[in-house]
Amino acid sequence: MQKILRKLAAVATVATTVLALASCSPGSQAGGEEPQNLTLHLAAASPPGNFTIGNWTGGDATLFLSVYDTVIHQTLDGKLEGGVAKKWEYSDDKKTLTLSIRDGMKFTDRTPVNAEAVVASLRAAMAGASTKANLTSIASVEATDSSTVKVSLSRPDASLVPVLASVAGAVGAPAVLTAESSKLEPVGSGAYVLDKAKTTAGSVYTLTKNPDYWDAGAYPYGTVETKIIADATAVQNAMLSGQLDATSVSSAEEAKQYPESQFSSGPTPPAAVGGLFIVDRAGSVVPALADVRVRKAINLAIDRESIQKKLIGAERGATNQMVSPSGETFDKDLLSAYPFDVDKAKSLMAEAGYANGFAVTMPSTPISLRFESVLSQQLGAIGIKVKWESVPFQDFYAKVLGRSYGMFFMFNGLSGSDALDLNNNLTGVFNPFNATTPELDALRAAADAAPDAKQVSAFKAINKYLVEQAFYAPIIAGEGVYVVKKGIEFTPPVARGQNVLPFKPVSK
Amino acid sequence: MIPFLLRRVGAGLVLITVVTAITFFLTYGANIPVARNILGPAASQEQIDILNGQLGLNRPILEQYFAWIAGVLQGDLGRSYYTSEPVVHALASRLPVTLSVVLLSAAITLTVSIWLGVVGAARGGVVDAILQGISTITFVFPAIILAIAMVYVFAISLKLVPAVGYTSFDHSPGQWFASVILPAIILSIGGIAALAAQIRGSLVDELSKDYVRTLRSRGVSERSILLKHALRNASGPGFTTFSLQFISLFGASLFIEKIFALPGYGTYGFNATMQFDLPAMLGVTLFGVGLVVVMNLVIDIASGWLNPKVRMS
Amino acid sequence: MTTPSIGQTTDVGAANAPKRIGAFRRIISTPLGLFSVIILLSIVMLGILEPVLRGHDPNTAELSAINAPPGTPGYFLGADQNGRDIWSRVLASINVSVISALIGSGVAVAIGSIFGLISGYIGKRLDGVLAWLFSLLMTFPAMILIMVLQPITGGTYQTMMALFGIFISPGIFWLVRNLVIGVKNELYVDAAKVSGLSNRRILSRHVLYVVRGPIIISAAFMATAAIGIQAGLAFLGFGSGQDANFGTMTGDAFLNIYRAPLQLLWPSLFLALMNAALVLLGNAYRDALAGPQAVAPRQKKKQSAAKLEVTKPLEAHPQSAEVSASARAELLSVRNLRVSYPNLDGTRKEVVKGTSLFIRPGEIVGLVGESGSGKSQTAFSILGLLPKQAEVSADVMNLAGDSLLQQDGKLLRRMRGSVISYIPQEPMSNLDPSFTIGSQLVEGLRASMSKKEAKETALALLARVGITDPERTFKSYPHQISGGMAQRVLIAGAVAPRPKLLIADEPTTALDVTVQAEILDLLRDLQGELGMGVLLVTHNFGVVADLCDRVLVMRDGEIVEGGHVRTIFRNPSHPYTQELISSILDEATVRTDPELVGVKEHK
Repeated sequence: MQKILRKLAAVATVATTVLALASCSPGSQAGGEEPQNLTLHLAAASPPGNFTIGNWTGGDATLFLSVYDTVIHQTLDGKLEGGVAKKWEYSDDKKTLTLSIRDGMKFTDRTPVNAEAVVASLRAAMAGASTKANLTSIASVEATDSSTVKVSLSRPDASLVPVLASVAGAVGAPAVLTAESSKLEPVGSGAYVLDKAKTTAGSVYTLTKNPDYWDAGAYPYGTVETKIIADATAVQNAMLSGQLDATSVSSAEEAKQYPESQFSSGPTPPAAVGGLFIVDRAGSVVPALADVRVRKAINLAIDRESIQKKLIGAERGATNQMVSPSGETFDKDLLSAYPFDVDKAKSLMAEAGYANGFAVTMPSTPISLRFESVLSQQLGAIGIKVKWESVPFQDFYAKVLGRSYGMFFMFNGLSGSDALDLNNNLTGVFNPFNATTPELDALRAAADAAPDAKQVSAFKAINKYLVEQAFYAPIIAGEGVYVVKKGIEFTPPVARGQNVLPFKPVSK
Repeated sequence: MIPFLLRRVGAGLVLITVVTAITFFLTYGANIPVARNILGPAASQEQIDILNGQLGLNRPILEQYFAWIAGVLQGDLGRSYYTSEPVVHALASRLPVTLSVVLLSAAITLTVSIWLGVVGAARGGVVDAILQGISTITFVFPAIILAIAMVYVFAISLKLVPAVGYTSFDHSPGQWFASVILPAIILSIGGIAALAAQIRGSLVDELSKDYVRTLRSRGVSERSILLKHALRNASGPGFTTFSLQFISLFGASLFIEKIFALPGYGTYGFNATMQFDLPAMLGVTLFGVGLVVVMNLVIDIASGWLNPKVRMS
Repeated sequence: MTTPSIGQTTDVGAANAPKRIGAFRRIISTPLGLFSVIILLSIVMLGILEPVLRGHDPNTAELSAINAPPGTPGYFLGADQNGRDIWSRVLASINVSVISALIGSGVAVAIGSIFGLISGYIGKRLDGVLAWLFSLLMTFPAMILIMVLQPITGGTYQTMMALFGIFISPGIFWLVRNLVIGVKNELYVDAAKVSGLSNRRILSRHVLYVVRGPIIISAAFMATAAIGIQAGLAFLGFGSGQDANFGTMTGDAFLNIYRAPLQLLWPSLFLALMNAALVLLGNAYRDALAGPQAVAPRQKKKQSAAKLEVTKPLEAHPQSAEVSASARAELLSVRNLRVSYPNLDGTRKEVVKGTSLFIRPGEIVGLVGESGSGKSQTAFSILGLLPKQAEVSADVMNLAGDSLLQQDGKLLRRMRGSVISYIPQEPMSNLDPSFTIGSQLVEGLRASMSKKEAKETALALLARVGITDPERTFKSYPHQISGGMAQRVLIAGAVAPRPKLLIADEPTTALDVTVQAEILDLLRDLQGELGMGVLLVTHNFGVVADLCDRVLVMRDGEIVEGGHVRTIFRNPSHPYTQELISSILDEATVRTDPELVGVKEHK
């Protein structure tokens, strides 16, 4: 369960199961103590898999990205800036990316972080099961000298640079990159080191600060301890008893559980878009879904506003687009494309020859749970009979990739990069039938190759196409709510679960 | 005594073999998409096949079973599919947590039950009514609800003990105690009523026996009759009940560990099950049954020692 | 889920057999029983009528109803944080719980009773194998397996409960097996065998009938366990989170506790009601089967147990020819002794009806009668060792000048340790199996001497009663010595304080004929040596003729005749006495129905 949650909904605003929590250790209140001595207590709902580059499967990558530095960095507000590569440059045809590696960095085993190490790491990521799909555009990686890496692409790929700011861009010491020991004893050059003595796999992970990190000043906490707390009730107990000081909840209403005298809270930017992924657009399992009128009817039948207000209790967040509402690609004008209109939906169904509706089976997961009855009702109103099939969490990937379902409800996390998000929604588990159209392929190729100035409009065109063709029936990109204990200042990041940068002790 | 113990060890080994074999064949034989789950949705079929080969999951199940058995005999339970941590290490590091809670709980159960049982047998009336009341309450409210209530009162409101987490004994005995006492008490509640009733019943049975009348006829004090003679003879059935409770304590620790986020072997088993981490699941099963066998043996020895017939045979 | 001893079996069997129809009626005649039946039936009915009673589908989230308070139109109990009708969810949860209970306890009962019947009835090697298998199953770590096998069971609560049922089936197995073994040994099954009933019919007619009650009781408790486990597993996230059940409801409610604390009340309340009803029903049913045993403790309080009561002022009120004028010379004098036990219906049954007797110092008096005549009851009431339920009264009960009436427990105990002592009938069952012979003897002596003295005295006594290797016997446990030796040990224990009155209750009945004679010789010797008065309770006129000075014949709680042995033998006036004397020759040496069993029946 946790794996899927991590991957697909770690940052979902509505999934209460996956949380990044933080706290000051008892007695280390941000009073007079030096920040270096402060401990930040993070908690996660499930234990991470292993730390090997290319194999990290968690959605919350805080642990992983604290140990490994990445080629590119993403700031809290989503901007990309230099990381291991202090700068990067595309060739004019956008098929060669040149990375200039920062000088003087060292891995925690004292070996230098140089171009060779970056090349080795990227190669490992290109082969790694979890990162491979995001790096398919890379044809080859070479070090031209000790501080320059040349990445040759088989096609222009606008999502590559954002990808290099994520787990796929992690840089590890070549000697242990994919060795067996890397699973639990990673060697990176990140802001923290995994303290093996204070770590018990599956229950507690302790990070201690890496004083040699080139940007060490950005990380005020000397120690970061992540407890694994699977039970939501236990998380709530831990928060209330003062053992944990921060959590994220699904609504402001829920945040009221935490007294204002001890906790402060505020909204976080949308971290995931949830909705129906109408993946069988070729109609091989559910023939009706091949008809764009049916897909549009589905979009029209869903009362997004009502779900957002009542089910999520959010102020805003209803959406019909898969990109982040706060991003540049998001198109406000498109929001009126699918008003809640059952009559129109019914007539579209009739036009498509499904006046009497059809039956569809969707997987029931912990994430879909609270949406199921609403969706059954609203789709039922236009004759679509939904059967929810309870899927053991562990079987979800296999079932979806095995093309068992014509459509399913899921959340997909937002990375802060529209290019990357659009790409993710068209690959892997979100496009198991590999359904595409020549028009879409052309639009994507154009966008990847577009010069920087024209990128936004090019991706807007893709977004518009996806909405008009009703590839999805997005429902909600709701804001989440963070709760932190007094004494901690939390800056909501665009992409959650990447590092501990959002946490700062309140300065006095 | 020795042949008796050998028989019990033999039965224990059979139990371990049977249970682990059942678990092995049911889980390994269930065609769980292990590799897909490990590698995630983006992995190719080729990668999945390679991983299946590395994990040995493409071999015939009997071959896998014998490989597992061979490993067990060498003290190797394999490695977790996910973290690649040896299962033996993982379980060894979690065992102190579970044992802390379970043994403390067993001690509480035993002490309180004997006290209640003796008082109940000797006094009847009010104590009986109290016992009945307690046992009804514990039957009526599932442990989960009691646990929630107690956490709320003692951890959240009064802040006497932590709500989650475990501190090891080496680190701080005081904090260790604080971190396990509430889970231990909650674990005990269900068992106390049953065991106290059992002890009380056995004591009442013993007290109606002929030898008690004879002892009374010789002027032996009621106190001695109750605490020395009847209790000693009632301890047999009491131990049987207690040993069964001990087994269920290990099961119940699963709930408790989750609610208190204790990194015990129940939590480990829960995560392993949720991830289909087969070696870890098997390891948990083996350890669980092994613990049961060891504990039963300890209890057998204790109750055998109390029973001269068994002791001297 | 406990394993009852065979001793309990006979009680249940005896209580059950004649009062068959009454059990259920008796349950609903008690307020608690009636209450639990009504609650249980109502809850089950609520579940059955779910489709009619529910306002909404339990999983339908009505957006406008989120966290609706109780009483909102259409939402009787309000709605949860997802806008689902709590009332409908409670109804659905009831069904889940009922089905869990039925599957869990049903599987356990089916497996446990089938194999229990087979094992208990057929016995022999099959019994050994099955008993071993079930004791193995009993030690299975059930929760671990239910958890680990979740991928196989698919996590549906039905399969998990079936698995749970298998794991708890040993409880029923042992119960049924032991009951069946008990019943099998009862006479009526033997009779059925003789009359040519097939095994199957014996099983179904008698055995099933007797084991039915205890099974129902166990099943009630197992049902609560199944309900609790199901809720717990669901709370932890096992199984489909979609189904409404008390576990998921509790979990949802807890996460919502600050916004709508009442939501936690509903699942807890119904869960508690259901379990309470089951537990109380189980208890009520057990009480009904056990009959007066369960009623007795309540009456007991008022009566201050088995203390003797004075029914009349202490005036001598001679009623029998046995009362001699020279009462002061008597070691023991008892007048108008009455002993009674409570009946089922609250009335009392008198087992000793105004008996009077006396014993002079150094005199051996035989108290003779058949089983149930009240002779042991008379003896025990003098010792003050009757069961708590017994009510004893007498006009006079004096021992060596002290009144035994209205004495506090301590003083009576001191008298038992010195003035009066007792030799029981069954030597083996009268020694504590867990302690050495020596320690048991020493314990009785410790009141008046040091440990070392006590040990020496005990060894001397053992030698005196004819044990050849006192040292070894001193260190032995009861199971290591023979019945005859055990009786010698008990005699040693009894004479240790040099009592003035020795009460011997059938001291030779359980022994071999050759040993009997030796024991009687020993008794006679010791009596001569110590000058004790002896009350010898027996059914055997031969023993009386051998040992006694005087004899009292008892029947139906009354002394029908008494006098010097020779007189009575020569000239028995009462027809009952004549009958007893004439049966000396053909009487079996070992009785099959010791009087104490009769006492138990009246408890």
